[in-house]
Amino acid sequence: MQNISDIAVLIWRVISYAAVLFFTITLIGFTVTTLYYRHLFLKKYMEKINDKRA
Amino acid sequence: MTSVLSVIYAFTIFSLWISTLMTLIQQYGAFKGHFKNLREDIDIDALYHENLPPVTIMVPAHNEEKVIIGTCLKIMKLNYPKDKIELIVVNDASTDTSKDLLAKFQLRYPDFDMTVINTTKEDGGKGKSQALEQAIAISKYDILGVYDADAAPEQNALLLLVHKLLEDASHGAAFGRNKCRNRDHNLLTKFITLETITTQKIEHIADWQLHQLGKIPGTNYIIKKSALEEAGGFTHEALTEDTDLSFKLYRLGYKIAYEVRSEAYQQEPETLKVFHKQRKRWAKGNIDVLIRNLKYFFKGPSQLRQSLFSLFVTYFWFIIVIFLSDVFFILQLRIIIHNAIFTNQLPNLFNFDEHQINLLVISWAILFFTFILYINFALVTEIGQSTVNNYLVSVLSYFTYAQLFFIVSLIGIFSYIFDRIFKRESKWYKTERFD
Repeated sequence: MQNISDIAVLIWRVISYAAVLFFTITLIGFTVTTLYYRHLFLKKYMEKINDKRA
Repeated sequence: MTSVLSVIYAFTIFSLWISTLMTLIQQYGAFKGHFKNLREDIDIDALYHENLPPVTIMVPAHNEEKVIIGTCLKIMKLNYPKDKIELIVVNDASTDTSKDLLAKFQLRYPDFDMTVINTTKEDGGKGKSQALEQAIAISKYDILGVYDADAAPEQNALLLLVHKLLEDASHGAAFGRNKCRNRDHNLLTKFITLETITTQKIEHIADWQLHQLGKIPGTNYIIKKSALEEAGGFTHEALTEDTDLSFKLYRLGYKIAYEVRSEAYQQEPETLKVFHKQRKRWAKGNIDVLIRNLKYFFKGPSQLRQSLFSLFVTYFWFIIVIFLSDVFFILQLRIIIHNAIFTNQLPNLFNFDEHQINLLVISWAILFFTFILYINFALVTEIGQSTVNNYLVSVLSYFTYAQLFFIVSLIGIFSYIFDRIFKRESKWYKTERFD
């Protein structure tokens, strides 16, 4: 019985570490993507403004 | 007791992960949609051509003297062939000066194809659906557009919607986004602005990009008259007639297309009282639609099932989890305060080991960061919105506005249950306008 409980705890820990790792990596990736989008968006906006001025 | 608490603990953690995962999937869909829009520029001149179909625009109005003329002017100035727009304003049992103002407007612009239906308390004033039906009855054209009386559409709003509707034969309706025109009025309107930007720039885009799924909002949308008739028109008793209509269209296999570049302005509630009434109606209306469509959960079209799942998650699953976590938080807080003041020490609610506490804190931190990133990605897609001030408001909104939304939704759920038990009739509440 004790062994089953230990295995359940071990499985739960593996799942939880994997989930936390997955979310952390995804969030870092999404943060970088957001900043990249911001860069492209502003660049395009500035190009439009310059076109209008020209 | 320990095993029950362990199950609740696992359920809470699991729910946090699921909600984080769903948020990240939505954000992925939004990335796809926004990067695509960034690559493909829309040529407005190419969209404007002689073969555009005529459209009947309907504006239901009840005591709207503060905004109605401004909206009519905006509709008249839409970038759309003037001979292909018919405007019908239903001045629904108004007791203010709307009738006179509209009559003057018609006199001033006699060439503009505009009809005003004035109703009294006897033959009108029964709500938005009935007002729209009166307009539909006399409408000339096969495409119907709806704008709320406070919704001032941008010049190209209608043109973009028509283009989207005609893009595919399966599109039964098309809708655009609504921007908050009183965003800087106070902190509440700032919170609502962040919420609407996030909903429209992330959720709606992702739903359309990933699942070809859209939901008709109350305003800035067009619909094929044939699709509306096939769906049996509006449901009179529905508190959220737009959501109800969307579900009826899904059942018929129609898609509701989203065009994020079609924009209109609308006023948001400026006081907590008005906000509470509006959101309570939304919550009750959405729960009602969910319950009436439950039978399609496993056998309906995919759009219908996805929308039902989304409503279920919002109004039942996550609400229960937030409710449970708030209850535990308050109970534990009471124990901590008690133990700090009195000598007789109370036992802690949970006896977590270090791993469990770490996991809870880290899971919460991940969810919190996801929430902030979610809002701030929506903000970077708008000119002038990605500011330090808005970033701070987004952080603050997690602890204040998001909790307020939860409380109002909970009140809506209980109110709906009481309505059903005591057979009370739900009242349609029109959102108040501000100067």
